[in-house]
Amino acid sequence: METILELRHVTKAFKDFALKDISFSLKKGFIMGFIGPNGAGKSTTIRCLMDLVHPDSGEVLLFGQKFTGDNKALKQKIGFVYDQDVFFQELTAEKNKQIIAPFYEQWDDTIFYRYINEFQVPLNKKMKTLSKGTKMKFALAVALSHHAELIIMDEPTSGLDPVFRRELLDVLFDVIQDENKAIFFSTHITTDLEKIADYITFLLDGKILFSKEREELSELFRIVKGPKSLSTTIKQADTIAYKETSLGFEAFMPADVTEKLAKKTAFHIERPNLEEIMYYLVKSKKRETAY
Amino acid sequence: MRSLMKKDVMIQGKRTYLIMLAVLIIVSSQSYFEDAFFKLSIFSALVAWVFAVNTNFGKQISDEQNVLLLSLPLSRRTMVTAKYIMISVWFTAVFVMLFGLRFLFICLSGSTVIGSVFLYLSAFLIGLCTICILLSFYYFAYYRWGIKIVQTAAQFIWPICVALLPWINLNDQQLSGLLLLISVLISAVVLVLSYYRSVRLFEEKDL
Repeated sequence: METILELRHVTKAFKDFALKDISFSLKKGFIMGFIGPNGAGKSTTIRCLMDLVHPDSGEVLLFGQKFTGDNKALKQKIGFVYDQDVFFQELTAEKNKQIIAPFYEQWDDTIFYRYINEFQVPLNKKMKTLSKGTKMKFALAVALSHHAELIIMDEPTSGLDPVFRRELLDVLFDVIQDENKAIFFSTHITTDLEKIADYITFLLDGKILFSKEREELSELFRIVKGPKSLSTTIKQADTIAYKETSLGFEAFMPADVTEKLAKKTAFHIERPNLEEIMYYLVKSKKRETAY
Repeated sequence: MRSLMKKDVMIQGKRTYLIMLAVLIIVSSQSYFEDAFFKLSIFSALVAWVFAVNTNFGKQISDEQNVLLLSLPLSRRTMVTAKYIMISVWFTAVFVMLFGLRFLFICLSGSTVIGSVFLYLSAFLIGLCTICILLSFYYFAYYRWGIKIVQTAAQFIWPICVALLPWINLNDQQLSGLLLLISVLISAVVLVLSYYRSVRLFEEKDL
Protein backbone atom coordinates (compact mmCIF):
# COMPACT_ATOMS: atom_id res chain seq x y z
CA MET A 1 0.00 0.00 0.00
CA GLU A 2 1.15 3.49 -0.88
CA THR A 3 2.05 5.85 1.94
CA ILE A 4 -0.31 8.82 1.86
CA LEU A 5 1.06 10.78 4.81
CA GLU A 6 4.48 10.78 6.38
CA LEU A 7 6.33 12.89 8.89
CA ARG A 8 10.08 12.39 9.13
CA HIS A 9 11.89 13.74 12.19
CA VAL A 10 9.77 16.88 12.31
CA THR A 11 10.75 19.39 14.97
CA LYS A 12 9.24 22.75 15.71
CA ALA A 13 10.10 24.94 18.66
CA PHE A 14 7.90 27.64 20.11
CA LYS A 15 8.58 29.82 23.15
CA ASP A 16 7.10 27.40 25.66
CA PHE A 17 6.53 24.25 23.67
CA ALA A 18 8.23 22.10 21.06
CA LEU A 19 7.47 19.22 18.76
CA LYS A 20 10.44 16.89 19.02
CA ASP A 21 11.48 14.47 16.32
CA ILE A 22 7.98 13.53 15.17
CA SER A 23 7.95 10.59 12.79
CA PHE A 24 5.05 8.43 11.68
CA SER A 25 3.31 7.43 8.51
CA LEU A 26 -0.13 6.40 7.28
CA LYS A 27 -0.89 4.20 4.31
CA LYS A 28 -3.86 4.40 1.98
CA GLY A 29 -6.92 2.50 3.10
CA PHE A 30 -6.38 3.03 6.81
CA ILE A 31 -7.60 5.24 9.64
CA MET A 32 -5.09 6.63 12.11
CA GLY A 33 -6.16 7.99 15.46
CA PHE A 34 -3.95 10.67 16.91
CA ILE A 35 -4.23 10.84 20.68
CA GLY A 36 -2.61 12.68 23.52
CA PRO A 37 -3.55 14.94 26.41
CA ASN A 38 -4.28 18.65 26.02
CA GLY A 39 -1.19 20.57 25.05
CA ALA A 40 0.63 17.49 23.77
CA GLY A 41 1.02 19.05 20.33
CA LYS A 42 -1.71 17.32 18.33
CA SER A 43 -3.08 20.50 16.75
CA THR A 44 0.43 21.79 16.05
CA THR A 45 1.28 18.52 14.30
CA ILE A 46 -1.89 18.82 12.24
CA ARG A 47 -0.93 22.40 11.37
CA CYS A 48 2.42 21.09 10.16
CA LEU A 49 0.54 18.58 8.01
CA MET A 50 -1.58 21.37 6.54
CA ASP A 51 1.42 23.63 5.93
CA LEU A 52 0.08 26.21 8.36
CA VAL A 53 3.15 25.83 10.54
CA HIS A 54 6.62 25.47 9.06
CA PRO A 55 8.75 22.82 10.79
CA ASP A 56 12.22 23.90 11.92
CA SER A 57 13.60 20.63 10.59
CA GLY A 58 12.37 17.35 9.20
CA GLU A 59 10.02 16.62 6.34
CA VAL A 60 6.29 16.40 5.80
CA LEU A 61 5.34 14.23 2.84
CA LEU A 62 1.83 13.97 1.49
CA PHE A 63 1.07 11.56 -1.33
CA GLY A 64 4.83 10.97 -1.47
CA GLN A 65 5.57 14.61 -2.18
CA LYS A 66 7.24 17.20 0.01
CA PHE A 67 5.45 20.43 0.77
CA THR A 68 6.84 23.20 -1.36
CA GLY A 69 5.83 26.83 -1.71
CA ASP A 70 2.91 25.89 -3.92
CA ASN A 71 0.82 23.03 -2.56
CA LYS A 72 -2.32 23.61 -4.58
CA ALA A 73 -2.31 20.20 -6.23
CA LEU A 74 -1.73 18.40 -2.92
CA LYS A 75 -4.44 20.33 -1.12
CA GLN A 76 -6.97 19.44 -3.81
CA LYS A 77 -6.72 15.92 -2.39
CA ILE A 78 -7.08 16.85 1.29
CA GLY A 79 -10.28 17.33 3.22
CA PHE A 80 -9.93 19.03 6.59
CA VAL A 81 -11.98 19.53 9.72
CA TYR A 82 -10.67 21.83 12.44
CA ASP A 83 -11.71 22.22 16.03
CA GLN A 84 -12.12 25.99 15.73
CA ASP A 85 -14.34 28.52 14.01
CA VAL A 86 -12.50 28.80 10.71
CA PHE A 87 -15.56 29.63 8.63
CA PHE A 88 -16.86 33.12 7.97
CA GLN A 89 -19.08 33.60 10.98
CA GLU A 90 -21.12 36.50 9.59
CA LEU A 91 -22.11 34.53 6.49
CA THR A 92 -24.64 31.76 6.18
CA ALA A 93 -23.50 28.17 5.76
CA GLU A 94 -24.64 28.33 2.12
CA LYS A 95 -22.49 31.45 1.48
CA ASN A 96 -19.52 29.75 3.12
CA LYS A 97 -20.01 26.83 0.78
CA GLN A 98 -20.20 29.23 -2.18
CA ILE A 99 -16.84 30.68 -1.14
CA ILE A 100 -15.11 27.34 -0.59
CA ALA A 101 -16.48 25.22 -3.45
CA PRO A 102 -14.87 27.09 -6.39
CA PHE A 103 -11.39 26.33 -5.07
CA TYR A 104 -11.86 22.60 -5.60
CA GLU A 105 -11.65 21.15 -9.10
CA GLN A 106 -13.66 18.09 -8.09
CA TRP A 107 -16.27 19.76 -5.90
CA ASP A 108 -19.48 17.75 -5.97
CA ASP A 109 -22.65 19.64 -5.01
CA THR A 110 -24.70 16.45 -5.01
CA ILE A 111 -22.53 14.90 -2.31
CA PHE A 112 -22.44 18.16 -0.36
CA TYR A 113 -26.21 18.59 -0.24
CA ARG A 114 -26.67 14.89 0.52
CA TYR A 115 -24.49 15.22 3.62
CA ILE A 116 -26.09 18.54 4.55
CA ASN A 117 -29.53 16.90 4.46
CA GLU A 118 -28.29 13.84 6.25
CA PHE A 119 -26.65 15.93 9.00
CA GLN A 120 -29.56 18.41 9.06
CA VAL A 121 -27.41 21.51 8.76
CA PRO A 122 -29.50 24.68 8.22
CA LEU A 123 -27.79 26.35 5.26
CA ASN A 124 -29.70 29.62 5.59
CA LYS A 125 -28.41 30.42 9.08
CA LYS A 126 -25.30 32.42 9.85
CA MET A 127 -22.37 30.31 11.00
CA LYS A 128 -22.15 32.25 14.27
CA THR A 129 -25.65 31.11 15.22
CA LEU A 130 -24.93 27.41 14.70
CA SER A 131 -23.98 25.13 17.57
CA LYS A 132 -20.48 23.71 17.73
CA GLY A 133 -21.80 20.31 16.71
CA THR A 134 -23.62 21.72 13.68
CA LYS A 135 -20.52 23.65 12.61
CA MET A 136 -18.57 20.42 12.84
CA LYS A 137 -21.19 18.68 10.69
CA PHE A 138 -20.90 21.46 8.10
CA ALA A 139 -17.10 21.18 8.13
CA LEU A 140 -17.38 17.46 7.66
CA ALA A 141 -19.78 17.87 4.72
CA VAL A 142 -17.29 20.28 3.12
CA ALA A 143 -14.37 17.92 3.73
CA LEU A 144 -16.21 15.02 2.13
CA SER A 145 -17.58 16.88 -0.90
CA HIS A 146 -14.55 17.22 -3.13
CA HIS A 147 -13.43 13.60 -3.42
CA ALA A 148 -10.53 14.11 -1.03
CA GLU A 149 -8.17 11.16 -0.71
CA LEU A 150 -6.87 12.16 2.70
CA ILE A 151 -9.17 13.45 5.42
CA ILE A 152 -7.39 15.28 8.24
CA MET A 153 -9.50 16.08 11.27
CA ASP A 154 -8.61 17.88 14.47
CA GLU A 155 -10.90 16.78 17.30
CA PRO A 156 -13.92 16.20 15.05
CA THR A 157 -15.96 14.46 17.72
CA SER A 158 -15.55 17.02 20.48
CA GLY A 159 -18.75 18.94 21.07
CA LEU A 160 -20.84 16.33 19.31
CA ASP A 161 -23.64 14.41 20.94
CA PRO A 162 -23.19 10.63 21.21
CA VAL A 163 -25.73 9.97 18.43
CA PHE A 164 -23.95 12.12 15.89
CA ARG A 165 -20.56 10.86 17.06
CA ARG A 166 -21.74 7.39 16.16
CA GLU A 167 -23.10 8.66 12.82
CA LEU A 168 -19.79 10.35 12.12
CA LEU A 169 -17.91 7.14 12.74
CA ASP A 170 -20.27 5.37 10.35
CA VAL A 171 -19.61 8.04 7.72
CA LEU A 172 -15.85 7.68 8.19
CA PHE A 173 -16.20 3.93 7.97
CA ASP A 174 -18.05 4.35 4.66
CA VAL A 175 -15.37 6.71 3.37
CA ILE A 176 -12.57 4.30 4.18
CA GLN A 177 -14.20 1.53 2.18
CA ASP A 178 -12.47 3.20 -0.75
CA GLU A 179 -8.98 1.80 -0.36
CA ASN A 180 -7.42 4.83 -2.02
CA LYS A 181 -8.42 7.03 0.88
CA ALA A 182 -7.03 7.51 4.36
CA ILE A 183 -8.25 9.29 7.47
CA PHE A 184 -6.09 10.91 10.11
CA PHE A 185 -7.87 12.27 13.13
CA SER A 186 -7.02 13.54 16.54
CA THR A 187 -9.36 13.03 19.44
CA HIS A 188 -9.65 12.85 23.19
CA ILE A 189 -12.46 10.36 22.94
CA THR A 190 -10.53 7.14 22.71
CA THR A 191 -13.64 4.95 22.58
CA ASP A 192 -14.28 6.38 19.10
CA LEU A 193 -10.88 5.17 17.98
CA GLU A 194 -11.44 1.71 19.38
CA LYS A 195 -14.36 1.41 17.01
CA ILE A 196 -12.68 2.46 13.78
CA ALA A 197 -8.96 3.23 13.99
CA ASP A 198 -6.46 0.87 12.40
CA TYR A 199 -3.45 2.71 13.82
CA ILE A 200 -2.95 4.74 16.95
CA THR A 201 -0.31 7.41 17.30
CA PHE A 202 0.23 8.74 20.79
CA LEU A 203 1.78 12.12 21.34
CA LEU A 204 2.94 13.29 24.75
CA ASP A 205 4.73 16.57 25.50
CA GLY A 206 5.58 17.04 21.84
CA LYS A 207 7.07 13.58 21.39
CA ILE A 208 5.68 10.47 19.78
CA LEU A 209 5.33 7.80 22.42
CA PHE A 210 4.21 5.20 19.93
CA SER A 211 2.62 4.81 16.53
CA LYS A 212 1.26 1.30 16.22
CA GLU A 213 -1.54 -0.87 14.93
CA ARG A 214 -4.46 -0.82 17.34
CA GLU A 215 -4.45 -4.61 17.64
CA GLU A 216 -0.75 -4.66 18.32
CA LEU A 217 -1.16 -2.00 20.95
CA SER A 218 -3.55 -4.07 23.00
CA GLU A 219 -0.84 -6.75 23.13
CA LEU A 220 1.80 -4.36 24.41
CA PHE A 221 0.49 -3.51 27.86
CA ARG A 222 -1.30 -5.12 30.77
CA ILE A 223 -2.95 -3.93 33.94
CA VAL A 224 -1.99 -6.07 36.89
CA LYS A 225 -4.22 -6.06 39.95
CA GLY A 226 -3.58 -7.71 43.27
CA PRO A 227 -3.76 -7.44 47.05
CA LYS A 228 -1.48 -5.09 48.96
CA SER A 229 0.55 -8.06 50.21
CA LEU A 230 1.91 -8.50 46.66
CA SER A 231 2.74 -4.87 46.12
CA THR A 232 6.45 -5.31 46.95
CA THR A 233 6.81 -7.96 44.26
CA ILE A 234 5.12 -5.78 41.67
CA LYS A 235 7.12 -2.71 42.59
CA GLN A 236 10.31 -4.59 41.94
CA ALA A 237 9.13 -5.39 38.44
CA ASP A 238 9.33 -2.94 35.54
CA THR A 239 6.07 -1.09 36.12
CA ILE A 240 5.15 1.88 33.97
CA ALA A 241 2.62 3.20 36.45
CA TYR A 242 1.54 2.03 39.86
CA LYS A 243 -1.29 3.06 42.12
CA GLU A 244 -2.73 1.78 45.33
CA THR A 245 -6.46 1.33 45.69
CA SER A 246 -8.69 0.54 48.67
CA LEU A 247 -8.60 -3.11 47.64
CA GLY A 248 -4.96 -3.46 46.75
CA PHE A 249 -2.96 -2.11 43.83
CA GLU A 250 -3.12 -1.56 40.10
CA ALA A 251 0.04 -1.63 38.04
CA PHE A 252 0.36 -0.77 34.39
CA MET A 253 3.21 -2.63 32.75
CA PRO A 254 4.62 -4.04 29.54
CA ALA A 255 2.89 -7.29 28.58
CA ASP A 256 6.12 -9.32 28.44
CA VAL A 257 6.93 -8.42 32.05
CA THR A 258 3.51 -9.54 33.26
CA GLU A 259 3.96 -12.91 31.55
CA LYS A 260 7.09 -13.57 33.62
CA LEU A 261 5.33 -12.38 36.78
CA ALA A 262 2.27 -14.50 36.17
CA LYS A 263 4.41 -17.64 36.17
CA LYS A 264 5.57 -16.89 39.71
CA THR A 265 2.53 -15.37 41.36
CA ALA A 266 -1.21 -15.39 40.77
CA PHE A 267 -2.02 -11.83 39.79
CA HIS A 268 -5.17 -10.64 38.15
CA ILE A 269 -4.12 -9.48 34.69
CA GLU A 270 -6.28 -7.41 32.34
CA ARG A 271 -5.84 -5.96 28.86
CA PRO A 272 -6.12 -2.20 29.09
CA ASN A 273 -8.34 -0.28 26.74
CA LEU A 274 -7.05 2.75 24.87
CA GLU A 275 -8.24 5.18 27.51
CA GLU A 276 -6.42 3.26 30.22
CA ILE A 277 -3.26 3.12 28.12
CA MET A 278 -3.44 6.87 27.58
CA TYR A 279 -4.19 7.52 31.25
CA TYR A 280 -1.38 5.42 32.65
CA LEU A 281 1.20 6.60 30.14
CA VAL A 282 0.41 10.23 30.82
CA LYS A 283 0.43 9.53 34.54
CA SER A 284 3.73 7.74 34.45
CA LYS A 285 5.37 10.42 32.28
CA LYS A 286 7.90 7.84 31.18
CA ARG A 287 8.58 9.94 28.16
CA GLU A 288 11.94 8.55 27.32
CA THR A 289 10.60 5.04 26.89
CA ALA A 290 9.85 3.95 23.36
CA TYR A 291 7.13 1.33 23.01
CA MET B 1 -7.51 34.25 -7.73
CA ARG B 2 -10.99 35.14 -8.99
CA SER B 3 -12.56 33.04 -6.26
CA LEU B 4 -10.55 34.89 -3.62
CA MET B 5 -11.64 38.22 -5.03
CA LYS B 6 -15.25 37.06 -5.15
CA LYS B 7 -14.88 36.00 -1.52
CA ASP B 8 -13.90 39.58 -0.60
CA VAL B 9 -17.04 40.92 -2.25
CA MET B 10 -19.20 38.33 -0.48
CA ILE B 11 -17.88 38.81 3.05
CA GLN B 12 -18.28 42.58 2.91
CA GLY B 13 -21.78 42.50 4.37
CA LYS B 14 -24.93 44.26 3.16
CA ARG B 15 -24.73 46.89 5.89
CA THR B 16 -21.34 48.17 4.73
CA TYR B 17 -22.56 48.39 1.13
CA LEU B 18 -25.70 50.27 2.16
CA ILE B 19 -23.89 52.70 4.46
CA MET B 20 -21.23 53.44 1.87
CA LEU B 21 -23.84 53.88 -0.87
CA ALA B 22 -25.66 56.38 1.34
CA VAL B 23 -22.38 58.23 1.97
CA LEU B 24 -21.62 58.33 -1.76
CA ILE B 25 -25.10 59.67 -2.56
CA ILE B 26 -24.81 62.39 0.07
CA VAL B 27 -21.30 63.43 -0.95
CA SER B 28 -21.97 63.40 -4.70
CA SER B 29 -24.99 65.65 -4.23
CA GLN B 30 -23.14 68.28 -2.14
CA SER B 31 -22.37 71.62 -3.74
CA TYR B 32 -19.20 71.72 -1.64
CA PHE B 33 -17.66 69.24 -4.04
CA GLU B 34 -18.59 71.15 -7.15
CA ASP B 35 -15.71 71.22 -9.60
CA ALA B 36 -13.50 69.32 -7.17
CA PHE B 37 -12.37 66.23 -9.01
CA PHE B 38 -9.27 65.90 -6.91
CA LYS B 39 -11.11 65.89 -3.60
CA LEU B 40 -13.79 63.53 -4.89
CA SER B 41 -11.07 61.20 -6.07
CA ILE B 42 -9.35 61.22 -2.67
CA PHE B 43 -12.72 60.64 -1.08
CA SER B 44 -13.26 57.64 -3.39
CA ALA B 45 -9.93 56.31 -2.16
CA LEU B 46 -11.06 56.66 1.45
CA VAL B 47 -14.33 54.83 0.77
CA ALA B 48 -12.46 52.09 -1.09
CA TRP B 49 -10.15 51.90 1.92
CA VAL B 50 -13.18 51.07 4.10
CA PHE B 51 -14.12 48.18 1.83
CA ALA B 52 -10.59 46.83 1.63
CA VAL B 53 -9.96 47.12 5.36
CA ASN B 54 -13.36 45.71 6.26
CA THR B 55 -12.89 42.55 4.17
CA ASN B 56 -9.40 41.95 5.45
CA PHE B 57 -9.43 43.25 8.98
CA GLY B 58 -13.08 43.77 9.92
CA LYS B 59 -14.48 42.57 13.23
CA GLN B 60 -15.76 39.41 11.53
CA ILE B 61 -12.25 38.51 10.35
CA SER B 62 -9.64 36.80 12.48
CA ASP B 63 -6.60 34.60 11.94
CA GLU B 64 -8.95 31.60 11.86
CA GLN B 65 -10.15 32.64 8.40
CA ASN B 66 -6.55 32.55 7.23
CA VAL B 67 -6.38 29.00 8.54
CA LEU B 68 -9.41 28.16 6.41
CA LEU B 69 -8.06 29.83 3.29
CA LEU B 70 -4.60 28.34 3.65
CA SER B 71 -6.08 24.89 3.97
CA LEU B 72 -7.78 25.34 0.60
CA PRO B 73 -5.84 24.66 -2.61
CA LEU B 74 -4.19 28.07 -2.59
CA SER B 75 -0.67 29.34 -2.29
CA ARG B 76 0.19 32.02 0.23
CA ARG B 77 1.45 34.22 -2.56
CA THR B 78 -1.95 34.01 -4.30
CA MET B 79 -3.68 35.12 -1.11
CA VAL B 80 -1.46 38.18 -0.82
CA THR B 81 -1.73 38.96 -4.53
CA ALA B 82 -5.53 38.87 -4.38
CA LYS B 83 -5.50 41.39 -1.54
CA TYR B 84 -3.35 43.79 -3.55
CA ILE B 85 -5.39 43.37 -6.74
CA MET B 86 -8.56 44.04 -4.81
CA ILE B 87 -7.25 47.52 -3.97
CA SER B 88 -7.80 48.61 -7.57
CA VAL B 89 -11.12 46.73 -7.81
CA TRP B 90 -12.58 48.48 -4.77
CA PHE B 91 -11.28 51.85 -5.86
CA THR B 92 -12.54 51.54 -9.45
CA ALA B 93 -15.98 50.46 -8.23
CA VAL B 94 -16.24 53.37 -5.78
CA PHE B 95 -14.84 55.90 -8.27
CA VAL B 96 -17.28 54.87 -11.00
CA MET B 97 -20.16 54.89 -8.53
CA LEU B 98 -19.26 58.30 -7.08
CA PHE B 99 -18.70 60.01 -10.40
CA GLY B 100 -21.73 58.23 -11.89
CA LEU B 101 -23.89 59.61 -9.10
CA ARG B 102 -22.28 63.01 -9.58
CA PHE B 103 -23.26 62.98 -13.28
CA LEU B 104 -26.74 61.93 -12.33
CA PHE B 105 -27.17 64.84 -9.90
CA ILE B 106 -25.70 67.29 -12.42
CA CYS B 107 -28.12 66.05 -15.09
CA LEU B 108 -31.04 66.17 -12.67
CA SER B 109 -30.20 69.78 -11.79
CA GLY B 110 -30.32 70.68 -15.48
CA SER B 111 -26.62 71.59 -15.75
CA THR B 112 -24.15 70.13 -18.23
CA VAL B 113 -21.42 67.67 -17.27
CA ILE B 114 -18.08 69.39 -17.05
CA GLY B 115 -14.47 68.28 -17.21
CA SER B 116 -12.10 66.87 -19.81
CA VAL B 117 -11.07 63.25 -20.23
CA PHE B 118 -7.64 64.18 -18.84
CA LEU B 119 -9.25 65.54 -15.70
CA TYR B 120 -11.20 62.33 -15.09
CA LEU B 121 -8.20 60.16 -15.84
CA SER B 122 -6.00 62.30 -13.60
CA ALA B 123 -8.53 62.15 -10.79
CA PHE B 124 -8.75 58.38 -11.18
CA LEU B 125 -4.99 57.93 -11.09
CA ILE B 126 -4.47 60.29 -8.15
CA GLY B 127 -7.12 58.43 -6.16
CA LEU B 128 -5.71 55.06 -7.11
CA CYS B 129 -2.20 56.13 -6.14
CA THR B 130 -3.49 57.42 -2.80
CA ILE B 131 -5.25 54.17 -1.93
CA CYS B 132 -2.30 52.11 -3.13
CA ILE B 133 0.10 53.98 -0.88
CA LEU B 134 -2.26 53.88 2.11
CA LEU B 135 -2.98 50.17 1.81
CA SER B 136 0.62 49.28 0.98
CA PHE B 137 1.63 50.51 4.42
CA TYR B 138 -1.44 48.98 5.95
CA TYR B 139 -1.01 45.51 4.45
CA PHE B 140 2.66 45.49 5.29
CA ALA B 141 1.77 46.38 8.89
CA TYR B 142 -0.71 43.50 8.94
CA TYR B 143 1.78 40.90 7.75
CA ARG B 144 4.49 42.31 9.99
CA TRP B 145 2.61 42.88 13.25
CA GLY B 146 -0.66 40.96 12.93
CA ILE B 147 -4.36 41.60 12.72
CA LYS B 148 -4.95 43.11 16.18
CA ILE B 149 -2.65 46.06 15.50
CA VAL B 150 -4.26 46.92 12.17
CA GLN B 151 -7.79 46.39 13.48
CA THR B 152 -7.06 48.93 16.21
CA ALA B 153 -5.31 51.32 13.82
CA ALA B 154 -8.26 51.23 11.42
CA GLN B 155 -10.48 52.85 14.03
CA PHE B 156 -8.26 55.95 14.08
CA ILE B 157 -6.70 56.29 10.63
CA TRP B 158 -9.89 56.57 8.58
CA PRO B 159 -11.62 59.28 10.66
CA ILE B 160 -8.36 61.27 10.72
CA CYS B 161 -8.04 61.05 6.92
CA VAL B 162 -11.67 62.10 6.41
CA ALA B 163 -11.23 64.99 8.82
CA LEU B 164 -8.15 66.14 6.91
CA LEU B 165 -9.86 65.98 3.51
CA PRO B 166 -11.36 69.52 3.54
CA TRP B 167 -7.92 70.90 4.44
CA ILE B 168 -6.21 69.50 1.37
CA ASN B 169 -5.27 72.61 -0.52
CA LEU B 170 -5.13 71.36 -4.08
CA ASN B 171 -7.64 72.25 -6.78
CA ASP B 172 -8.33 70.74 -10.17
CA GLN B 173 -6.12 73.22 -12.03
CA GLN B 174 -3.12 71.81 -10.17
CA LEU B 175 -3.74 68.28 -11.52
CA SER B 176 -0.82 68.35 -13.93
CA GLY B 177 0.89 65.62 -15.89
CA LEU B 178 4.02 65.95 -13.76
CA LEU B 179 2.09 65.54 -10.52
CA LEU B 180 0.47 62.44 -11.96
CA LEU B 181 3.77 60.96 -13.06
CA ILE B 182 5.37 61.52 -9.66
CA SER B 183 2.32 60.05 -7.89
CA VAL B 184 2.27 56.98 -10.11
CA LEU B 185 5.98 56.39 -9.67
CA ILE B 186 5.93 56.79 -5.89
CA SER B 187 2.88 54.58 -5.46
CA ALA B 188 4.30 51.92 -7.80
CA VAL B 189 7.54 51.75 -5.83
CA VAL B 190 5.74 51.65 -2.47
CA LEU B 191 3.25 49.04 -3.75
CA VAL B 192 5.90 46.73 -5.19
CA LEU B 193 8.08 46.93 -2.08
CA SER B 194 5.10 46.36 0.18
CA TYR B 195 3.83 43.45 -1.95
CA TYR B 196 7.11 41.54 -2.05
CA ARG B 197 7.79 42.13 1.63
CA SER B 198 4.23 41.03 2.51
CA VAL B 199 4.55 37.86 0.43
CA ARG B 200 7.84 37.05 2.12
CA LEU B 201 6.44 37.69 5.60
CA PHE B 202 3.29 35.66 4.95
CA GLU B 203 5.21 32.76 3.44
CA GLU B 204 7.32 32.57 6.58
CA LYS B 205 4.44 33.02 9.00
CA ASP B 206 3.12 30.21 11.22
CA LEU B 207 -0.61 30.14 11.80
